[in-house]
Amino acid sequence: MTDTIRKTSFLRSARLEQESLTFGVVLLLAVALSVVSPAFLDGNNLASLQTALAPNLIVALGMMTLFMIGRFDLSVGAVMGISGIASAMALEAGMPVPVAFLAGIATGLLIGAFNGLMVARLGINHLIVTLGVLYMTRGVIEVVMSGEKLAGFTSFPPAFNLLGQWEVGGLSGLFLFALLLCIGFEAFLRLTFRGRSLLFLGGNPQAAEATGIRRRSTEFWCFVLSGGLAALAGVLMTARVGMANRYMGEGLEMQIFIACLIGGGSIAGGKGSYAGALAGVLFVTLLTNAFNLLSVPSEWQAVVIGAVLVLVVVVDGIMVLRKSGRPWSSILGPFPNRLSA
Amino acid sequence: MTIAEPVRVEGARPAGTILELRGVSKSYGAVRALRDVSFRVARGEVHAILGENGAGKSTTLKIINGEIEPDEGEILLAGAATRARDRKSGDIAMVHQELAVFPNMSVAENIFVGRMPRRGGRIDFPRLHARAAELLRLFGLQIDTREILGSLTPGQQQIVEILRAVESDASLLILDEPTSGLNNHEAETLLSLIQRLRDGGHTILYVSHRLQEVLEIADHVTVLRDGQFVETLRNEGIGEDDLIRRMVGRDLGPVSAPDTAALADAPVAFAVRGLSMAGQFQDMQIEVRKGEIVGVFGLEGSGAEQFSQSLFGIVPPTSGRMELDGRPVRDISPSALMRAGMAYLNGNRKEAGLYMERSIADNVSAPILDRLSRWGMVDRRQVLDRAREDIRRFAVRVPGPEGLPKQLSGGNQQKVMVSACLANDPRVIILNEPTRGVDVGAKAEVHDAARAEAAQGKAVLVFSSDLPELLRLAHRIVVMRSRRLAGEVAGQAMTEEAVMALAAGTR
Repeated sequence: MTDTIRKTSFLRSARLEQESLTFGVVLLLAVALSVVSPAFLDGNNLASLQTALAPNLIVALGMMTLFMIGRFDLSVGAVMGISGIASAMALEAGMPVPVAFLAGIATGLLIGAFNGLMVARLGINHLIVTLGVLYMTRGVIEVVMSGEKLAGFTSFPPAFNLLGQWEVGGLSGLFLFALLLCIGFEAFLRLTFRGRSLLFLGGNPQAAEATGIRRRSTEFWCFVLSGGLAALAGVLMTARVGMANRYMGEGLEMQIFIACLIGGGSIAGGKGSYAGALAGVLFVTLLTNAFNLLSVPSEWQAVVIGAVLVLVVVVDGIMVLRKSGRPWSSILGPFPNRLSA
Repeated sequence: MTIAEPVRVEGARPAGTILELRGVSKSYGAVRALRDVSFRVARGEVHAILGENGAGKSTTLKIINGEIEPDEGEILLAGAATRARDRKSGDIAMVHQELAVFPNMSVAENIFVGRMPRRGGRIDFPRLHARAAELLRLFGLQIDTREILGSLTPGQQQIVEILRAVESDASLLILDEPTSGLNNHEAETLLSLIQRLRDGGHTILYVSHRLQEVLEIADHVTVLRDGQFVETLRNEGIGEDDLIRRMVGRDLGPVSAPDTAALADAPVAFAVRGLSMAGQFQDMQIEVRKGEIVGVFGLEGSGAEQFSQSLFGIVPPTSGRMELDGRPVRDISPSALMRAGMAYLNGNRKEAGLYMERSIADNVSAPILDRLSRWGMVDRRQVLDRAREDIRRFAVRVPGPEGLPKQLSGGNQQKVMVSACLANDPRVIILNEPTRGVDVGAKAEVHDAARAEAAQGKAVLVFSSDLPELLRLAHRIVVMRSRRLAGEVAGQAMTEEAVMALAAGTR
């Protein structure tokens, strides 16, 4: 009897189809780069890759969590910036390193909690809320960093710098930390009911509530998580580069957003994985790196990354239409409204 | 109304009454959905509830399941009075007519959501899949438990949802039209599942439109009509006709038999040939002649609603042909169909019918603004004149053309909608639920308007869940069942029984 049941492949049942595709593309990209540009495998380049990957991945974990429940957070870049500044200011005020670290994280958690309250409690659209908070936070950064602080904070105690600069066996500690975090999140998603309930919630919110999953509180805590992770990335990066200025995290939200979509997330919710967040971040970071190595003008980076995003979304949209039984002629043909007999 | 004496259940099944409704009433605004309904369900039986559209079945189920509180009356579970909250969290599991599944999750997770087997802090996946596979095997389903639910057919998804309710092990299982989305094979699987559940001691409360099915598996059948209890029958020696007779029998008032003889020679104005939409309806055929009013009737889940929407390109069909005046329609989008001489009355006034914040004049002139314009500028005077004319013609009770639809009663809103629908002088008119939720007077006026259009040689197609309305209005009625054409009745044969026999029965 069992032999008549069509078995589901692992990639399909684990919902890792798009993730594995992205990983494959990343691998191809890496191989191609190492052939085309010898500088790619250079120690300096690999080190700067790791430094770029770590904060992006940490932020993407939060964003992917929100993607799963059909939400997103555009304030992450600004939160990253303001959290680094908060830590720097605490240090300048003479506070010990752990307190300064926590001050930065708390800033992010608070902003995340505000986003969460607005969305989960008051039911305001998450695009509007987080876009508004993005502007507000950027504005606060401008206010704080005016006058004599225009150049940013640069002198930190060595203990703080160490937070971002430790290494293990020649690999960046931050990068390893971000990877471990990613593995931990993936395990949580796959193995625990709380993790699964994110996907249940994204797949069918009403049905999930009817089966006892708490929608509002889950939403709230996902936004808090996203804020906290963005702050963590911000503080660690401030420690890494030894500087807190008003440019940190600028435009990052779009990069992360795109990485999550390419890595298998969907703004409709119910889809995505942290492995996919890793794949997407790898892809976006490698692509940026490729442009730098091949000295393509930076303007073109945005064009290509945007084009890849549009391609992914268009292919996805076409597949959805095909699934609903629309013939190819009505999707791509010149007369979409024509009836085919 | 007296409480009907329930018939005793003989045999070895666990005795007693698991559920009893006493004098339950519920109103939504001015609409009385249920009036003084009382009946009993015995423990361990399959109990079917039957009734036409709007008979109050869904409201009854929702009250039993604790989703809404009745205005009057009480619900007893195992002899004890209960509140809605107790029932919601209690020993009752309900499967709603609309799918409430997680298309992005595996089959096993869909069955066990909310009750995942755990070990430590983790989900015990081996046990989860083993138990799911066991359940699926028990009911003869050949599905991999790791398959993503969204890739199954709608019927299989529905069965998985029912298995979720089964797995919860509630002693009272409520199924609202569980077979409406299933094909014959799937429906048979489900029926045998229901029988197994009864043999296992569960009580099943079951709503269906398929009379044959009900007769096949129900122990008792409770019939509702117009929100009132009619009778609880024991399923012994009764047939489809007995059930239909109790479901229908509303007072229709005088029916003036329309003269259909002259119509037979009229040219076909609108034809639908082999129209299909994946998963919604299949191979629909209809011809409407000039001057003819054709009704389309189908019970909930029959596909009639989707069919009506696809005719106007709102949700486009996937294959088939349509002809207007013998010429094939090439572009099936609402705007092109309007240009070709078709008009559509949307069934949903609030959401898709009227611009509630715009004046009556704006509403009735919206479809024909280009005709009321000169050099691309809207001629306000013409718009107002046009609106005054329509207000007079349809006797809309409104202070003037600048009034807002939201200030009007439902019946007057409907008349504004009808006049907007007829504004561009269409040759083919599709009316969708033309009198839903309006009073008797407005209903008659809308009917008169439809008859007047037909008398002018227009072709009229009416979709309505209100069967008496169709019987009075239409020259013939096309009936849908199980997402297909079930048949057609006309002339003397056009009775409520005949239509219901096609819509719910096996003929």
